[in-house]
Amino acid sequence: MLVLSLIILIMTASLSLCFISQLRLATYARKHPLPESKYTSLFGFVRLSYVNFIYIVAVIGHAFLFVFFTIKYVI
Amino acid sequence: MIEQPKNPTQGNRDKYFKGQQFNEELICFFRKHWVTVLPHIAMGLLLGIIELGFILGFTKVSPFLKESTFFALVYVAVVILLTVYLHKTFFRIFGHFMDTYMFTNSRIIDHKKTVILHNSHEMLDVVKIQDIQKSQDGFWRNLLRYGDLVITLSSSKASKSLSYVPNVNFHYRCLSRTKRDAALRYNHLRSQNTVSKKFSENRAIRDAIKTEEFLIDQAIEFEGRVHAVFDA
Repeated sequence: MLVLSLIILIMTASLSLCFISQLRLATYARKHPLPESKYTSLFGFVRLSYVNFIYIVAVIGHAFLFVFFTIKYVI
Repeated sequence: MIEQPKNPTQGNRDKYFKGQQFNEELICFFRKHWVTVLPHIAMGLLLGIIELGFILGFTKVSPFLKESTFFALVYVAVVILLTVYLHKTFFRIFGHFMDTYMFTNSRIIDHKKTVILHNSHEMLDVVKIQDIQKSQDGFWRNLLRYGDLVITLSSSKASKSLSYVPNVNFHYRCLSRTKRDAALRYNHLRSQNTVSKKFSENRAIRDAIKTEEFLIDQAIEFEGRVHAVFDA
């Protein structure tokens, strides 16, 4: 149970950090509405919003994966 | 096509970034070349592979974790490291997007920002630029068309280097044009200022002459009166 508690604590901190970064990115996007084009995107097509979406999915997936595996295999 | 401002009284103020001036036009902006992000993307891929390894090999590791507290704590430590690694990777990629160089008709702005830790601005006045130097040495730099721009200021010997500039030829030409336009505008304003200064100087002379003429007229009139009194 100690391991599960620690894992839940870590994932809560991780999700909180993700939430804080979302707030900061939203503030940045509001303050800098720069005219994006293919010349300013990463590799010509990757925008900040795409990376942000992958980040949210990765953090939630990471949290879900480790909590699930801890419940199923460690306890 | 450049969009018209929503509120004409605001001009371009804060239109594309906080701190944009009323008459300031954003000419172009760019981020560092994608070569700088490649290590972080590689880190992200490595993280994905490690997590995949975890998923595939978890059934083999789980008996050790159930039996030994030490292995359970090692597992927690690995999870912490992977979580930190995940955030670090994405924060660096976000940092790439937030770290921008902007060329406006009056300034060059270097905005260094990360999600949480850094937020610094550096500005160079375009009029004060003495020289712009472009360097694009090396096989990869020429193949991927990135390089460095070194800007030397006229006021001091200090120089500012913009590194990993993508499409460096375009940005070099763009900066050169901006510099030339700013210099022309500055000279025009200065000449206008000189003309107005000369005009005001002439006006002062004219006023002085008028005053002198008025005084002479007054003196002549007074002299006439004196003569009239004596004649009487």
